[in-house]
Amino acid sequence: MNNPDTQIVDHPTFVYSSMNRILHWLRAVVITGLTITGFYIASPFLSPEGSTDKLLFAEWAMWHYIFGFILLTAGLLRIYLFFFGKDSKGELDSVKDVLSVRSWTTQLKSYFFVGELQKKGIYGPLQFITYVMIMLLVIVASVTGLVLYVHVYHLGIGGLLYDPMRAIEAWMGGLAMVRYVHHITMWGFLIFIPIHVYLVIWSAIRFKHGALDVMFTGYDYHLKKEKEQDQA
Amino acid sequence: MANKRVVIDPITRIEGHLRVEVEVDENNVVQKAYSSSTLWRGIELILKGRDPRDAGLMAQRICGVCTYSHYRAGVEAVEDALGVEPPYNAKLVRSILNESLYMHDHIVHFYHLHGLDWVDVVSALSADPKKASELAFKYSDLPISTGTAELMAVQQRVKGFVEKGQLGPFANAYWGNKTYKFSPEQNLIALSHYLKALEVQRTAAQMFAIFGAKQPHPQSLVVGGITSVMDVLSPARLSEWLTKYKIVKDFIDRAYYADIVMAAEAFGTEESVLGGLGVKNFLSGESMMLNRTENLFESGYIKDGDLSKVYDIDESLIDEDVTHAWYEGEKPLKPYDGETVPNYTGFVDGDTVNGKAKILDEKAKYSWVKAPRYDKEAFEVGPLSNLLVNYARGNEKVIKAVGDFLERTGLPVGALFTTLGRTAARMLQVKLISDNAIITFNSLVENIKTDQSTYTKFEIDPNKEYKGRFIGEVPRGTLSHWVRIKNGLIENYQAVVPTTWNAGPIDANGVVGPYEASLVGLKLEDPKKPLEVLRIIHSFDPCMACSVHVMDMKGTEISEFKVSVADGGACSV
Amino acid sequence: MNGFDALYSKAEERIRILSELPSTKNKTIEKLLEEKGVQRRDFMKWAASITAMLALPSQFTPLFADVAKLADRLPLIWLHMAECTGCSESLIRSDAPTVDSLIFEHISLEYHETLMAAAGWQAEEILDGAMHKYKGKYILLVEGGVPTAMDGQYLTLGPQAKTGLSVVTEAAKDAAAIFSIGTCSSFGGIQAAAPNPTGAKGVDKVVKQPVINVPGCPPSAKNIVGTLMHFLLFGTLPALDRYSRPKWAYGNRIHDLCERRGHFDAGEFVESFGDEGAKAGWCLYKQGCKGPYTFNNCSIERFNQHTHWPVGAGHGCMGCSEPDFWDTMGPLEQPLDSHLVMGLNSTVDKVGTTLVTATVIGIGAHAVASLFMNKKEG
Repeated sequence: MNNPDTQIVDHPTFVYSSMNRILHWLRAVVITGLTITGFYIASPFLSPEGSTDKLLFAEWAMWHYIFGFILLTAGLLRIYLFFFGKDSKGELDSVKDVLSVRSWTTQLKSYFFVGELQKKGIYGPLQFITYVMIMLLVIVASVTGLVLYVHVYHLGIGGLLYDPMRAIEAWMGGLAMVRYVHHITMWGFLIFIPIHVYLVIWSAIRFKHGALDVMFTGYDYHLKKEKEQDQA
Repeated sequence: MANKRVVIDPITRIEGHLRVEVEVDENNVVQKAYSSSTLWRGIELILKGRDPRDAGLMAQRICGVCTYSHYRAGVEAVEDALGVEPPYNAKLVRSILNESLYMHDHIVHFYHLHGLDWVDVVSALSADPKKASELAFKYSDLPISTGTAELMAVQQRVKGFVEKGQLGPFANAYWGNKTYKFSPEQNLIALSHYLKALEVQRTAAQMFAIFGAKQPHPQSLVVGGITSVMDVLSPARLSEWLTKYKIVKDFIDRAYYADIVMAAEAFGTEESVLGGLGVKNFLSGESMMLNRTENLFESGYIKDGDLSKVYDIDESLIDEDVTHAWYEGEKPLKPYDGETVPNYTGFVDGDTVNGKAKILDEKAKYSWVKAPRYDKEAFEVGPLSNLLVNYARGNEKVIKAVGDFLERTGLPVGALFTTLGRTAARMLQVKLISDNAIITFNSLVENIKTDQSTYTKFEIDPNKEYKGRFIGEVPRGTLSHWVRIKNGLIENYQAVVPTTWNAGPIDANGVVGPYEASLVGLKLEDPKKPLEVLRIIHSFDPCMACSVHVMDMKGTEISEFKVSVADGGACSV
Repeated sequence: MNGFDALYSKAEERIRILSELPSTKNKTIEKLLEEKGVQRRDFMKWAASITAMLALPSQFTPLFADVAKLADRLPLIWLHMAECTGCSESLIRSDAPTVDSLIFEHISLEYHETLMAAAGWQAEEILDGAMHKYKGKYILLVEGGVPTAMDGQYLTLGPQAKTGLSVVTEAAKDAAAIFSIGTCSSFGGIQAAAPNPTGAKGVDKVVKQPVINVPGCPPSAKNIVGTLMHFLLFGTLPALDRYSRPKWAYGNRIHDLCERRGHFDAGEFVESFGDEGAKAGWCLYKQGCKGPYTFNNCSIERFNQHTHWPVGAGHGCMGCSEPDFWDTMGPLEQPLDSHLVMGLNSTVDKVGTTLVTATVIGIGAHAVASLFMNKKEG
């Protein structure tokens, strides 16, 4: 159908640094791990056969803490990179889209097959807000997780954070509420993930750009745009 | 001369917040009586929309004195609604808990709540401990805590209190009132038991906690059964219960029984305790499962003090009236459909014998207690009702216990229908329970040899509607809980509490409840120090702030009543 | 001076001040102990056990003995608000036979409606008198939540029908210390559960003075007595957590010191009440135990002279010493993931599953639409 020559992209757009890409996949892995271990912690569906020294629950819980701390660290780094990374300009530019009503209508229309997805930064406004919300969700999950954690491990970081975390616990209305909110954050991720995966694939197909590749290679390309430019 | 108003608020030594007002004539005889609960908490409203499995634990917080009663009632009302049948072991354990509760509760009520109405602490000072020690053998073959040395020690402690004029909880009371009838020696015996009972009640509470987790407010019942399976199956725990049971039973036999015999002797001619019973209808629930086929007490009711006829309860005839209670509502409602919408109208200013005060507006609404009625009539509930109904039913154990007691004290059957009788009935009830609790216990021991189940699984179908109730006997009388379940949640919840039966205000038809009826005709020694009123009200063992109402009659009815009771008693014996 | 010495000398100073106060009794506790036939050795044993309970070093034992002897100088006023008297009952169950009852008899219990002989006007006189006579010196203990709706008229007390709210704020003004005994006076309790028809609140929400909370439904006698002893010894508030609970009693979760904790870590759970796991004493987490979210010392002190406690009796903890536990921890016999979302008769997991399902359906619809659009455009 198309001339093979025009499909070659000469000037791919740089989107994500390697650090950000690694962090993204790290988060993907640990959130999956956290969801699975978290479900087990909320409602332990396996029991050890035979002896008590297997410490099954403790092991699941341990992995949950390990994943949790990875998520926490990854989250902190990601927030830093959002502001100070070498790729942060593209992301910060999206703030302009959030403030622009036109960008909003453009993005929403594009999702319903009307027009192109045009934006100033690398994210559409809805996309940007969603990612910010997910980041907030990571923060809430991390903080509530830490509040729960300081009661499990009393030395090191657990001991260090004990007092401030108890303050947050009291502010939130007790550990049960903390635990409840922590549980709700997990559902936030679970709802986000399918939408996220779908829209990435969909926009890659619909707008013929490297929506998937960008998280592997860091570079985006715009097949359609190239074609249009060529035709023009 | 116009009647004078006496206000007593707070009524102390009860559970909850109770105000009683009486109007006395120029001879200090009570003409009218009103009572009011002065606290509303709205627990029935709070229960709406909750998980039915939480009903028991939440309802238990209605009361921390008859703790467990509402827990069990809440759990069993939900079981009744869902059609869950708990295993036999669970039923026996619940019965053992109930028996343990009675053994704790009646001791604490008589000695620590009611006792100071009968015992003049100050008078015990002038007693001769030696004489008192000998006197104790008159009331018990083997008295407890009445050795000369023990009594001397008690006396010295009391002296310490009185001399320094800093009486702590005994301050500013009614010591020296002429209606205190015990001799100094008798007072000393009772006082020694007051202190001993503090110790015994701890043991009784431990006995309860073995299968109940803690007391007050146990936590081992669930819809479908009980949770303390490890304790039930542990021989160590079983023998622990048995040991503590024997200690408490010993105290009931050797001290509590003896003190009531002593009170019957001393107060047998004291007018102010030989009335105090105005409503002649008595209602009782079933309780104290002994084994698969036998309960210690059966349910039923008797009317007009007639012991020759006993009727089965038709629960559809129970309703609650709120004409004079601080709630919205036009006509009496069945408990399943009961509403609890507050409509507070408060107090009015008035004169009392003690000066100006806030008084009840008896013509309007004046209490937080509703007025339960059975077939439009008021009923008394409690240990006395329980014994009378079972007496009329021909319950051999009850007939024997009552007979033995009357023989021992030389009192006529009619003496049961009094304040003194109500207090004695509480003792007789717990004596019967402590004598028979061992049967329930042995049934359990026998059964766990072959059957270790303690829990029945169940499902709550959110698409179905359920309704169920619990009706049974608890330390203060007949308790019923009524629940409707819809969408898997509590749709409506009502509790008809013993004290509600006894203390409910006048209803739309002018029918008067037991509290208010019991006070009319009472002569007060000193209206400013109304000990006699306290004694009658305490004899009911109030468990929630309750209500009394206007009664515009002279005291004549009480004497008529005595006659009719004696007749009734005579024909059924 | 290190912290320990500082604490020790503070306690000594406190005892000196107390001993200079005029006694309200003629006899010292020591004398009364003798009369009661309690040996000094038993008394010291009790003092040692209280010292250990408060997590203080054993050097404090003699100080405790001293302070117990002086306890009779401290007037107590105990008020009942919207309550069930369960906390008073718990107090009566107090521990360590003979000695504990002595302590209670000889702390000067000025006003306590469940125990006092006087009623009505006479009772009110006592209350007014004690508040006047011991101005600034008495300890105020409150049982029950304070109804605040309708200007507090859901509870009235005394011949002048004062509201509970006015009585407690009045008594708080001149109290040396205020203890909220039980969850109701600490956090509002059962009557404050949704929809809180009477506007019930904890005492610390209605008075300006600092309040020590001793929650529990009811709190164990140990926690009531221990908190009092701490005040007697140091004359200051004990170390408190964010909810003003004494740390010595409410510093650990039930879960941290639970006898069934090994089974939790092992993943061995009671699947149904009365099952083999229940008979073997396995963990009650799946039966809704709220021990992991609840701070109290039940697993150590237990109730009724160490007789038993809920988890021991095979029923999970229901979280009764936590604020708003009726609303945040129900259904009490189900794990927290069964908690109903406010206003929806549904759990977080059910709502979450529904939303995820809706999302997936939405995605499917969008994908199908995309196919058609592509064809059209293509």
